[in-house]
Amino acid sequence: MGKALAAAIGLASIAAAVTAPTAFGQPPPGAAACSGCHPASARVTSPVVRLAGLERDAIVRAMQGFRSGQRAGTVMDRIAKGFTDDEIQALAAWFAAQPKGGEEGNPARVPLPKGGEEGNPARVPLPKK
Amino acid sequence: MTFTRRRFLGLAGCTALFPAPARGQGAGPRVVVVGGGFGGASCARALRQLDPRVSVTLVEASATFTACPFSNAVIGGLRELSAQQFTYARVAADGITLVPAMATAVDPAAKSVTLADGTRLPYDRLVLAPGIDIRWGALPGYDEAAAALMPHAWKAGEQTLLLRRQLEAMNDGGLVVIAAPANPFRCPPGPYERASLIAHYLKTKKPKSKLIVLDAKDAFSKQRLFQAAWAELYPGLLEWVPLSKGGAVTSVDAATRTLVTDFGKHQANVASVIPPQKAGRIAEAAGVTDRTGWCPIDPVTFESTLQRGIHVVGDAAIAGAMPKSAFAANSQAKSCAAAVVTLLAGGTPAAPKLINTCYSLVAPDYGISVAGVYAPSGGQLADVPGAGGVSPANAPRATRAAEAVLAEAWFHTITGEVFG
Repeated sequence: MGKALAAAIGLASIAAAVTAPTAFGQPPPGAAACSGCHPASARVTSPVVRLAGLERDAIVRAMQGFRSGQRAGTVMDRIAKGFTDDEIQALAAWFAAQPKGGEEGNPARVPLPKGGEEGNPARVPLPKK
Repeated sequence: MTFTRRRFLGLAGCTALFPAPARGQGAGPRVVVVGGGFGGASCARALRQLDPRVSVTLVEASATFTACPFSNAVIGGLRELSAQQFTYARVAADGITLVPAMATAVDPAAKSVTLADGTRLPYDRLVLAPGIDIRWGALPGYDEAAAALMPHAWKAGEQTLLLRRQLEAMNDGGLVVIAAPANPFRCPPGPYERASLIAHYLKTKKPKSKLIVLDAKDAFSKQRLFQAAWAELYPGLLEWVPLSKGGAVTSVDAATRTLVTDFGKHQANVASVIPPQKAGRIAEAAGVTDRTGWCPIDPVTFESTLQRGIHVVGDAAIAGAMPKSAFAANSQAKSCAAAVVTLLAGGTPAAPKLINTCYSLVAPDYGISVAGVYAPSGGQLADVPGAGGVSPANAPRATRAAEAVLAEAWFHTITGEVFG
């Protein structure tokens, strides 16, 4: 990556930090992506830690630890390196301000069928080899 | 379009400020989302969450969503397809209007989506999340009839089950061939996870069999990790043939399950042909695809660079360094929703920061991952330097086992977030 590109990213990061938390009550840049793994919905159970309502300092320490390599991670060590100090502060403040959620199963899950897969009309007969 | 951007934004702002009763039924600005996958369903829910005044309509023809991530485990006999399937009941419960129909056309000037029955849905902003379509005919001999014999299984569902049944019906000692396409395509590590989990099935159930991956590329996602794991777990069973060694499939003959390359022919007992792809067809109908068949977008707003007022997220979009993955689609969808809400209110969206994490299973207890962080740069979504990368090369098996558990946890969480 060229210096100009890196500088442009640096500027974009500063701009993001200055505007975070964003207008319209939106989460700061990056926050929405966290719920790809860290459950945000109160209905989702997961072994991955829920970020809403965590102590601000705990989030900052964790992110800084992952970023520096002081704290072992599976993917967070790789992800934390993509966030600046200002971005981490904004994320931590935002998650700390969110109410803690409860947990229950995912009701959208289609129940398992009782029988097997026999009689499926999509089945294509295989030629004899 | 004759609108200038400034004028367009001005109008959008006026719309948002318009008193609600004038729009009837207390509705605010109207956003139509087409496609109910990881991108579209996420975007619809995020829109409602960010601004409950926004009236959101989700157009999705299927009553049930069948997830692609982990569908290779279904093929390998490790999981049932029903574990991949989700309903839209909870999405509808968020106050989103579900339209169970196929969107067939978009009129960007009139700002309306046309459904298969001719109904028109007006919108203030449109989000397209149509996923992929197969480029039928791009690989000579591979058409829809051929897919019934040599399944692509690149859209989870009946194709997934078809491939699994073919493997189950194959005699021990058979030859399985997977054809992997050139970039870009949905789920870059997917063909190699499929190869891994089919190899696992063969090793445990039909150990005299062999698996060949014919690849139109010389490099692929998580390559070193996959190849190290293959050498450890499936020696002599799984062979990868790169482009430079004649891996590119130039045509197929479905009736004889023959795959032709420049270097020869492979006659398979079971063949999974993952063909060239393009954005889901509504994207082309809306005029948001370029000549690559994919959709160029603004990296801050996900608005099409070809049609104002239409945003594209997920696999259909040209998202720079971001792969075509469920995680990326979900991440993009939430950023897009924030941008749409901001634009509807007359504001200027902030530059997003996006994340991707993709797990692959090499065996049921052996997971590997790739992660990335992305931000707009030079008109593209670019990798944030210094971040991201793959699982460590020389990790102990306990780490691989932990990543297999995390893979399942990820699937559980993201499907719960999107559909639960």
